[in-house]
Amino acid sequence: MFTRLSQYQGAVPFPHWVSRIAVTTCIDQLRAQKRRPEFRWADLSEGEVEVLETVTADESTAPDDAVAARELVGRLLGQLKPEDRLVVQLLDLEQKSIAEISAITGWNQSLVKVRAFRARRKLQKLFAELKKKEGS
Amino acid sequence: MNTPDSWQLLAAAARRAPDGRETAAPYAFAGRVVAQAWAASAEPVSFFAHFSLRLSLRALGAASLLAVITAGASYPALVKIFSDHPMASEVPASDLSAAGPADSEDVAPGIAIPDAPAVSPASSDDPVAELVDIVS
Repeated sequence: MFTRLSQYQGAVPFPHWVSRIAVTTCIDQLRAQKRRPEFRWADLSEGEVEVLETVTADESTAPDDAVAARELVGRLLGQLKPEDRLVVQLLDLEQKSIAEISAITGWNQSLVKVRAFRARRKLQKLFAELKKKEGS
Repeated sequence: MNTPDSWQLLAAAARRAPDGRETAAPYAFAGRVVAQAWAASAEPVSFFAHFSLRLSLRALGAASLLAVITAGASYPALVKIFSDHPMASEVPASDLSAAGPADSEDVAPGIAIPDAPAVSPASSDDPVAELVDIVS
C-alpha cells in the first residue's frame, strides 16, 4: 500500500482506492492457489448434510444450523472463480448493493451483474449435482 | 425445484452465523506499517551523491590532519620569526618608568614602544591629547 501511495491520483475516494488494492491482492492470491478443493458429498459433516438436505428438499424452510450453513457456503464458494466468489460473497452474504460492490472492486456495474449471474448459475449446477447424488 | 431459492435459503442461514473471521491486526502490524511508511518516504540517495558525501568527509579529515601536522612542524620557525621581529624587543624598564605608571600598565609585556615623545605637563593630564601626540 505504501509502495504505491505515490500513485494515488485522487480520482476515487481513498477508501475505494485501498479496497481495490486489497481486492486485487486477494484475487491474485486465490489465483495463485489454482487448485480448488473438489466438492464431495463424503467430505460434508453431519450438520452440513442436514442443512443441504433442508434447502434442497424444501425451499421454503431455512436451516436452523447457521454455523453448518456458513461452512457449507464456504465449500460451495470455493468452487467458484475468485472474481465470481467475491461478487457472491458481497452480494448475498454481506448484502451489499451492486453500486457498492462496483465501488469496492472498481468493476463496472454490468460486469458485477454478469459475474453474479455466472456465479449463481454455477451454484445452481452444483445444487443440481448434489441433488442427483443424494437421490442415487 | 427452484435451485436459486435453495442458495438464497442457504445464504440467509449463513448470514445468521456469527462471523468468526479474525478482524484484529496481527501482532506488530502497526510497527511494520510505520517502518514501511518511513522507508517509502525516505528520499533515495543516488550513487554519485553517496560517493561525493563520503569523499568530502574523507577530504575534510585529511585536510584537518595536514593542517595540524603543518602547524606542528612549523611551530619553531614561527616562534623564531616573532622573536626576531623588531617590535618584539624588550622595552627597557627605564623607558617604561619614564612614561609614567599609567602607561606602563597599559602596555603589554614584550611589546616595544617607540621612543616616547616629550610629555608636556599640560597634556599629561589629558589622555586624549596624549594619544594624539603619540600618533603624530
